[in-house]
Amino acid sequence: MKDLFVSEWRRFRRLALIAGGGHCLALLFLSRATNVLQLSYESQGLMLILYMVLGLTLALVQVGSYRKPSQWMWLIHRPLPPARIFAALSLSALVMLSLVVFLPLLLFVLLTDAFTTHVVDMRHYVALFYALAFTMMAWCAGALAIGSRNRITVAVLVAPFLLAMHLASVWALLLPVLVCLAWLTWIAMHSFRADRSASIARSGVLLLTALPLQMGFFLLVFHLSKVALSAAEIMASNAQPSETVLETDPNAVATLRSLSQDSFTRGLEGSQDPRAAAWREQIPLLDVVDLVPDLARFPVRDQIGNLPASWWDSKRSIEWTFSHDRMMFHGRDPKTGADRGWWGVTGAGDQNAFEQIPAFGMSSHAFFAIDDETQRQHELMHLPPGEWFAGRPVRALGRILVLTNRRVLAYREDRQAVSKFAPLQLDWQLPTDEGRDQPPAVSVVELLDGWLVKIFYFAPKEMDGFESLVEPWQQVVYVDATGQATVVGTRRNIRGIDVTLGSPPLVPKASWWLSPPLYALARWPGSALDRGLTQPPQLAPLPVVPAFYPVAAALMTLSFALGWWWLRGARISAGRRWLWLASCAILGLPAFLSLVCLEPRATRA
Amino acid sequence: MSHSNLYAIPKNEPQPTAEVSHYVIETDRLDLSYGRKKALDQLSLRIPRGRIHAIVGANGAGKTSLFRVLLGFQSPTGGRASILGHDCTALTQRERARIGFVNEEHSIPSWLRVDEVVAMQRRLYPQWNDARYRGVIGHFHVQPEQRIAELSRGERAGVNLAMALAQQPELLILDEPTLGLDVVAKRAFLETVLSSVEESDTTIIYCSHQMEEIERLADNLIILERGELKHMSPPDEFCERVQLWIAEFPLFAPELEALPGVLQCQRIDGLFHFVVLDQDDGFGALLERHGARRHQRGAVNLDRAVNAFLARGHATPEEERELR
Repeated sequence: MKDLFVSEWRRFRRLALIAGGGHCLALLFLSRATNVLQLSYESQGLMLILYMVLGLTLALVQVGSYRKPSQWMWLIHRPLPPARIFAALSLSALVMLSLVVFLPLLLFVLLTDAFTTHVVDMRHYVALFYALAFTMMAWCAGALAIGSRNRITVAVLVAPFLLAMHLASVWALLLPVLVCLAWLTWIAMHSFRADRSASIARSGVLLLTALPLQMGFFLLVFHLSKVALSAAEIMASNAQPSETVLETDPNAVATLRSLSQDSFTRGLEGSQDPRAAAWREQIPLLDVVDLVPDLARFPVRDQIGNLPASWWDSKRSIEWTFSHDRMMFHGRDPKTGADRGWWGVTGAGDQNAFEQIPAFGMSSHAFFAIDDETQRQHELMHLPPGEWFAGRPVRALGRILVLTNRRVLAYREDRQAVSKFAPLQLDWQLPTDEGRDQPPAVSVVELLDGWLVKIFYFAPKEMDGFESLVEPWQQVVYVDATGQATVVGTRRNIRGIDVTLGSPPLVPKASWWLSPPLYALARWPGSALDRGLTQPPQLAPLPVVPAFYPVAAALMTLSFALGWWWLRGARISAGRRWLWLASCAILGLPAFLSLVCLEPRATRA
Repeated sequence: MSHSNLYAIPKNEPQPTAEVSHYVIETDRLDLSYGRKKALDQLSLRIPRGRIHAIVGANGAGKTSLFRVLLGFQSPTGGRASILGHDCTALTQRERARIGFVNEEHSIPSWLRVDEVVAMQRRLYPQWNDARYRGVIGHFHVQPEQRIAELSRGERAGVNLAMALAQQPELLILDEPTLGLDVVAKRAFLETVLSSVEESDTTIIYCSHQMEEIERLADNLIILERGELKHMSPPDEFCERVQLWIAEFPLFAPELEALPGVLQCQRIDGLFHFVVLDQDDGFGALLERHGARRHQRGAVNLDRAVNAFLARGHATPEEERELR
């Protein structure tokens, strides 16, 4: 095993050294242009994908060179168990990928930590292991594809993406990622056997190989079907490529433009209040302020992905970057690299750490204002336990309007106070208890004698380049000058407002019915792991549209029938046959695709 | 109990035990199909220990498929196969250490030096015999510090064979090892195989299309055709079964269907050359009855015998026309 390991190392060492050097240079180049350690999590995701491509490429070159039957025989036909042969290859790959991916990153972080004033936290060091783990997962997927009877098993690589790009603590992700890596390593190891065309003998190995493969197929089919449906719909609509679907739908545009005012006036249509008719005439002439619930979660400590937790003091040319280790902002002059100290709860120089990580000048419970002159930070608002901001406070209509998960609040500044950072004074507030699962969208207009507030409730929705509002209903509330609130209109069964933005109407529906259980399973890591702020917010799944029940049932039946056709005459045990057929029926087409990959078809005479 | 089998075990020799099978290879109604194509068809074969056994057959006869099944790289679609007494589908590293394999591609990591590959193999195989390695590699003039990528095909074949023999396997499978080698390399290769068999008790399964190699090496000839076993005996016995009859027909040639056992018929300089199987002197009388003015019986070498055997029933339209 050691010899094989050394042999593989000798084979790729030069290439690995060159690639590692190239990686170092790329990081140096990037660091001249931006703060690499604070790259946005989208950029981090791109880097992760590049590393995974690297891992996959190494597997295809390294293990792929043994793909030819004669080479495979040379590799396997020796007095070593295949598991040890795999161990030699995978360990050599680990060493090489460490040299190419991990070591340059580690050097970069260490040097940044030691010789610059950039913020380097423990999470940055731990994140390096994630980079290496995902790269190795890609290598394992490539090795599995080479060792399996069908190269399409490389689709298993899509499954680990369910664990990538979560806005969770690096420590919380550690176990799932290690389990995933161990899982892929284990099934790749079992693919190393003399007869690659044979089916997997042991049921446990088969099950553990089939499940991530089915998930990979599901995610591929899921996303490709969205692209295909979008393309089909764009082609069917004869739209020019430069046009968006939205622009080709005049009704949607009109609905959008008049959404706020229109829904306000419609909400008052059934109103019994004698002033409703007058309000309906006034509203189109008034400014409508929308409070959107676009903050679902806030950053968590040691979060793996970077979120905009830095801000720029242009007056003093200081970039303040949040340190998760010290829970304070660290100041740095980007031009000179000079250290500008720490920024605690009360401002520059304060060594008191924040309780929560602030983003956009606020944490989930507190809203701050910064005095540019004195570099002091003032807490303007503090929410009670159990309540958090659902959107960024909006300064409009002479008030500071705030949307939380429980209330709409209108504050005004204390004009009598000496300091312009005096605590805000509550003008009026409205409970929005109906929207506990999902904070409502709120619109506010100012009347001469009070306020009209439209509270728009909607069921959980899925956001994936489109927005679909499900079972929405709204209330219009009149708040008088004393802050007394009266419901003046309620509108239910809203149909006309169910609009789709930016994507064809079919797209949202290309989801759960492909495989309801896998769809639910694919969402599970997100709901279980994401504890940090997601931007755009990660929303609950789209509710099941009953019209697609028959489609889901038809696909399950089709998958069962295809599975039965594939397995007829196959020399497998009855238990194994029924396990496959059951998984085809329950999990749908992804299960059938995995069956094609893993179970050879019986030979026909 | 009498043994009618050619390879029956004499009574004074030790009987095979569960550990050591008398046969290095045993197959029982072995089937292997690739889709609708049958690579092996009900192949029942027993190859005893010792000596050199040659497997010949046309392309697609199932030779390489048989080796793949025997080494566990392909599961049979029917029947059973065992190698050194072990089920082929469950070979462990212990069994693999006892089986050497050299194929026509001589797959060795091209990025390593000869001495590095050898060191690797030496550590892998507990029975490694350095003297034998040096003895074999001496025929090929390969330097230890040479990279595998820099070796010629013949040199690579030499390294591969030297390593395979140095492992001292009980069974060595050589699958067309001389394919693409020049005359010098081929001669060195064959000499090495012959001398190593004399020095050790390794059983060699030798697969080749080169009949002169088979003639020189093989103690036992196995002919496969379309995945079926067609013949198995020492080469001399096979040659005795095949005869050449040369006849002159002044008027017209007989219908081939009327002549039994004809494997091949060629017309050369006005004379008909019949290669026939399992015929006695009565065949001459038969030729006379069909109008032969004169006829003569001759011997055939293994090359012609095997080629005629494999080519029977495969006459091209041109050959058919020529005959008539």
